[in-house]
Amino acid sequence: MSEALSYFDALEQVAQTIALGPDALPNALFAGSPEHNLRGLRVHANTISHARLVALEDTFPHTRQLIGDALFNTLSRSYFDDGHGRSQSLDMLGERFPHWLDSSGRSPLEIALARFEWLWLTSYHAADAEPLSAAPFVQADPAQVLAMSVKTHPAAGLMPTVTGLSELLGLSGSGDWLLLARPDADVTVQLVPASTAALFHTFLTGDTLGHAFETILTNDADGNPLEAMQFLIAAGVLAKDDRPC
Amino acid sequence: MIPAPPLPPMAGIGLKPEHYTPMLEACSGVGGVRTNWVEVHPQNYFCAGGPPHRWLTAVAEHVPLSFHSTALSLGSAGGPDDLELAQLAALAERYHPASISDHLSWSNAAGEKFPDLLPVPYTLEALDRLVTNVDRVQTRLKRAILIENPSRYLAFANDDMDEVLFLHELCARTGCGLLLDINNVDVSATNLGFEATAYLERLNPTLVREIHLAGHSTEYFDDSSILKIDDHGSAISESCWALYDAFIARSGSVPTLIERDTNIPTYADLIAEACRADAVMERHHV
Repeated sequence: MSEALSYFDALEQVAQTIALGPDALPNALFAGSPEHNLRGLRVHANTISHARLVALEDTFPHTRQLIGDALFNTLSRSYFDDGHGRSQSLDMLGERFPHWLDSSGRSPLEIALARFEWLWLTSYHAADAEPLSAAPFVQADPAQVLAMSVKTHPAAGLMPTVTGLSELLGLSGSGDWLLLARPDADVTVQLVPASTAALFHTFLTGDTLGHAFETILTNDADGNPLEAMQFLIAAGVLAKDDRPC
Repeated sequence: MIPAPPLPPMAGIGLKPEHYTPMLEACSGVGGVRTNWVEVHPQNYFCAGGPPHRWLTAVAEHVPLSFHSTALSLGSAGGPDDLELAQLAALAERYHPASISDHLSWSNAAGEKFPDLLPVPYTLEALDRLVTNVDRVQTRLKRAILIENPSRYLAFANDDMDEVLFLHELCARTGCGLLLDINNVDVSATNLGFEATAYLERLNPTLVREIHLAGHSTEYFDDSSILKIDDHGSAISESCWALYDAFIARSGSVPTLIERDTNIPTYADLIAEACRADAVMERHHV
């Protein structure tokens, strides 16, 4: 480090050398021989690269299996080389990966599986909350029930499925949407029809039951919001919304 | 500043998810040897809820916790990572760990997060920056933290002092304590050409509130030089055990962690190494 080099500049030079490689190694930054210092810098560069790659593998294990180890590794390196995830902590650096796979022309199944894995992790780590149960409705005044504010449970998630995804996940049943929930310790995944997905969407930002039903019936006169509501409650994807109106 | 309640001066283990069940079984008397305390990376529990918190809550009911942070970036020229600090403070408020530590290193620069512990130059300007950053963290956490000596592969030209003096000054000016990683001393000594025993003999043992024992890998080169790498995945080396023995003889018993972050051993294997560390402390200080 030269006399004039400030602390800030010294760290910037280390960061630049790790990012750009040996050619960026300043002559006077480190003590010792250039060979020794390049070996040391290589250790840091390998640690950083390895940590990022492993974090992405751990975030998308099934996507990696579908794509194959070697190609997944190549894609991961391209993702980071494109600048993604580099400003994020290890647990968040895969956030844009499904979108990046999409923009990179990967197959709809690979993209959907990556989206599913990110949604699953989000559900797994979401805040705890008591799921809404049917018990309060049993003896309640219907007007009170319709006025009750309900929102989606913090661990609930929904995404459209694609051909082959439900088979890959070992899901039975039918439906064009994947519904994720974590009413207790484990994340559950179910296929649901569009009508159930529509009701779920009305509760994303919180809504009264009465208004949600009205919205559903306006959009689909033949819909059965009560049945969909019963399903969502049984799945544990709703919670009472206690926020002041 | 509220003084941190101390860890017991015995061996503990680095707790990973695969250890939750056997550790809790041992604590419940179902079988196996109970650990004295555990250390976790708080970053693994920054999530809002879910199974990680259920496990950690159960663990905390049985043994003291140590939070060993890896991402505050205490050496950053722009200050510690605000988001990491806020999340760490919230987690500490929730679990009241016996100890909180991070490293004498940095990992944020120019808008990028490097998942590594990068070296700090040992200059007066760097010391001032570290003092400011550690003060800020301790004020936010309302307690003294421990600073871990790093594994070094590089030494800056024009350092104003060596690592021992830098750490002593940092402790004197901030009131922080030291987490002495003996494997890191071993690794740095080999890579930078100083004597590990001399380093440890100069280190003020009253500042050391926790010790880490770990292993390393070694690379050999055609020019006869070697490079030790702190890989967090190897068994504790015999050279590390020997340095530990000598330091404990001088310092007295110190909370000692068996640290492994990759190639995770079974709970029973970690406990066996913890028993060896306990035996060293008992031999010197019964």
